[in-house]
Formats: sequence, C-alpha cells, structure tokens
Amino acid sequence: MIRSILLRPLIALLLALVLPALAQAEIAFIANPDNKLHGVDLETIARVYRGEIRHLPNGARITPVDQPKGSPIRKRFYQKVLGMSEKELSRYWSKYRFTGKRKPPMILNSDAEVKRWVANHPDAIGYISGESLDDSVELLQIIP
Amino acid sequence: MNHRHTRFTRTLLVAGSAMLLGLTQPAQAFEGIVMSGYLTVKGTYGANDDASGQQQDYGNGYATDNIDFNSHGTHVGMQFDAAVSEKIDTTVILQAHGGHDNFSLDVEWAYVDYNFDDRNKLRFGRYKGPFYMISEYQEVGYAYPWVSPPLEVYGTNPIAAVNGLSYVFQTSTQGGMDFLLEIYGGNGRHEAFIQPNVIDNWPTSPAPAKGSMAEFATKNMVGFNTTLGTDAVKFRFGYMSTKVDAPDFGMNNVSGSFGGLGLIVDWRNFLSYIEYVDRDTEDSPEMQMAFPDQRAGYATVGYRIGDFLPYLTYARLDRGKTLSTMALKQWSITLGARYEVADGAALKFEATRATPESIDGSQPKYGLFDGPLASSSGTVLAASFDLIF
Repeated sequence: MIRSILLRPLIALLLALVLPALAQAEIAFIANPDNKLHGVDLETIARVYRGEIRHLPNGARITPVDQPKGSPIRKRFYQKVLGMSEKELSRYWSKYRFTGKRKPPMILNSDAEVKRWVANHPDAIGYISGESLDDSVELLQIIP
Repeated sequence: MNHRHTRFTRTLLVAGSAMLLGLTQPAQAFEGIVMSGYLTVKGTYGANDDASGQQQDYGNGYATDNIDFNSHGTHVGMQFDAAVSEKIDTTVILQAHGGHDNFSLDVEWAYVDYNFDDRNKLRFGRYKGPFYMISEYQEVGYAYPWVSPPLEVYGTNPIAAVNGLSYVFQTSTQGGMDFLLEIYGGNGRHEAFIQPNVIDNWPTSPAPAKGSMAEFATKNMVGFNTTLGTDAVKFRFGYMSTKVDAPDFGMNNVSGSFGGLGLIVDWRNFLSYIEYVDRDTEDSPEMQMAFPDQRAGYATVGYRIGDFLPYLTYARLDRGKTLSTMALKQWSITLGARYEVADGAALKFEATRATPESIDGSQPKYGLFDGPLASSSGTVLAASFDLIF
C-alpha cells in the first residue's frame, strides 16, 4: 500500500525529468497501472502482437492494441520489434486472420486513444510515442 | 445454394446469438464485432483449339476464349469476428462468387472456437478444412503469390468445407519455431465438376454438358494437419480420409483419401512453394471414373525485387496408386509476377503453358482441357487484383 502511494509520484517525477530528454522517435510500451504484466520483455511483446499468445506464463491475460495503418509509429514499431514492413505484416495476417488461427490486434486511432483504452482495460498493452507518456498509464519499456 | 442455407442456419444461429451476447457484455478489452474481408477480381483467357478447330476450354471453364472478369474466380469475402467471452470466439464468413453463383451472398463458413488456453482450442461449426497446404485460405488471393493456386494440385480436391469439430494445438518457441497439429472430422455436401474425359465417355445418352457439376456428400471425414517451422521455412503434412455418397454416379459409402506434403520458404527476398498431394479413392469402377486416383505436385520459385515478385512454377498431374483410364495427366510451366500496389493490395499476372499427356499411351491427351488439342501444348493467361480490408 505504502509502496504504491510513493511509487506513482516518484514515477511522475522521474518522467518529468526524463521526458524532455526523450527524442520523439522513442516508442513507449504502456500498460494499465493495475496490470499484472510486470517484467514483460520485447520478445513477449512481439509474440503478443503476432497473435501467438494471449496470456503470460503467470496466467495474466494480455491484449494488444495497435496504431493506424500507415502511421509512422506503427511502421517503426513493427520494423523494430517484429522485423516486418507493413506489407510483410499484411501478408502475414492474410494467412492467419481468415483461418481464425490467430487474431490481429485491435487498431485505435492515436496515442491519446491508445492511452485512454489502456487506462480503462487492465489486460491491455499498447505502444505510443515517448513524448505522449503521462501518469494515466504505466510504462513497461521504452525503446529508442 | 439452397442446401447450404438450410444446413447452416443452425450454425449461423449459434454463432449469431453468441455474437449478440458479446455485444451485451460489460466493457472489457473486447472489440464487439470486428469486420474484415478480401476481394479478388480475376480475369482469364485461353484460346486453344482441337484438331477440328473447336475451342477447348481449360480447367472446367477456368479459362475460355472470352476474356471474362466475371468468371468464377471473382469473389468477395466478409468475415465477422466477435469475442463472446475470454475463452469463446465466434466467426462468420460470407462470400459472394461471380460466375454461375451470380454474386449471391452466402454464409460460407461459421464457427465457434473455445480456447482452453493459448495452445489448445476446439472448433465447432462449418469451416474450410486444411486439406492441402493453402486450402484454408485458398479464397484469399492476397495471401499467396499466384493468380490461382496450381490447378494440377488444387483441382484434385473439390471439398468445400467441413461441418464438424476441429481440435487445434499450436505452440511457438521463443526462437520463432511454430508447431501446429489439427485433428478434425465431420461431414459436408459439395459439388465437383464432372471431368471432360468422363463426359466424353459417358455410358448413357445424353451425356451431361461440359462444365456440368455433380453433387456429392462426404461423411465420417477424419483428418489431421500438422505444420512445423518458422516464418522463413515451414513444412506441412496432412491426411484426410472420408466416405463419399455420389448418387449421380451411383455411389454410396465409397472411400476416398487426400494426403499431402508441403513446404513454404519465405526468406529474405527468396520465395518458394513446393507441394505434393496424393488422392486415393476406392478402386471400384464407378469411383475410378468419377474421382480416379491422382498424384500431383508443383514447385514455385520467386524472388522479390522491391514491390515486384516474379515467379516460375512447374506443375505435374499424373496417375495415382491405381491406374484409371479416366485419370488426367499433364505438366505445365507458369511464368508470373505479383506487384504490391499498396499495403493490402496486389496485382498479378501469369501465363501458363500446359502440355497434356496420355495417362496410359492409349487414352487421348486431355490434361486439364475440355478435349485433346491440335497442338502439343495450350496457353492460358490469367490476371487478378487481390485486396484485403
């Protein structure tokens, strides 16, 4: 209890110090503040976005949300984390989506929508630009 | 297709009511009903004459001497997905086909998936079975390089869907190695083209017209499909056996099986699809006339240069285990190219040179044409625009 009381303002302070230093190109992975997704690594994030898993080893459900097709952050995310271009990604999903074997993440419209969704859904995970970070969501990881 | 409507109303009601339940759930990280889909506009052309100067169509009307963009290759699919609960997903897919179906929108597939966990799921409903390597997504042109999957192989299996159960186990390692095992069973009603050579040898008069279809039912279908590999290299092995009723051919409870191996390589700029299938049917005279044993295979190699993918396919169709005088035989070479117009849209063109052969040296050389050609080979052109949305 005491930890969580101290932790939030501490993180807010750290973000206030660190955020200005973050370049616009940073991708921040965010989750709901009440989540059970601690320690999620990039490999796991990649598998979640490929539709391979919907739960972590600890049993926690993890549901990814995506950014709009053609947006710069989406292109950067898939290239950095999955090593795929948007066309490669579309070809990938065309095989799995229409057979019901795997499901693609839901697409939202902006950093603000992603934050709002993640803040309202305990199992959600999303990615936004580093400069959009605030304390409505928990930062899981940040990649340059 | 009336039999489809009556047969799957029940499945549609199950899937539909499950979806409505999903809409009334309290807010969770579920999206309600999600719509996606695919569209293929396809045109083909094949002007190939027999010795008397008469046009012989290819692939049971796949390519005729009329450039036809309303052929049976043009179709649209709309998929509706809804997560009813944390473990239950439902899917309904509507399709509209051109050609003799005249673009009437039908419920093609509808199923409910129960996810025990991330690895194990049970499916109930009507779905496209994994009979051959790309059978499950054969309707999604955007998902593969060719205008049409090689006809030598994919023409040997006219089974449209399975009504029944499917158990899927899938897992992937941290290194990107995926394993899938699917065991499925059920029944179905389908239609298949009556082969042109069978029509020309019809025992009674009058014979059906070329392009006629025969209805048949499959029951006690049992099959499995397994894949192993990464996104770069994936192997596939599958086998399905079934009982068949085909009253048009006076057949009841006869057996048939479809086995196959496949490989997809998609590594850096190099692309390859290789497949081999074996259709083995009951050795009765009726079955060997309607659905003779056949073996077929193809190898496609391609190379991506930016958004452009040229490819070459060599395909063969030959006798199966039991030699039937009605079995078809040919080999073909296809040169094609696929161009990524935009994310989710591709334009394709291919030219096929098909060389029919005689199955036993005495039978005429039909290959996949309506009749023996004047020359040793025939040419078929095809182009398509494939979209996913």
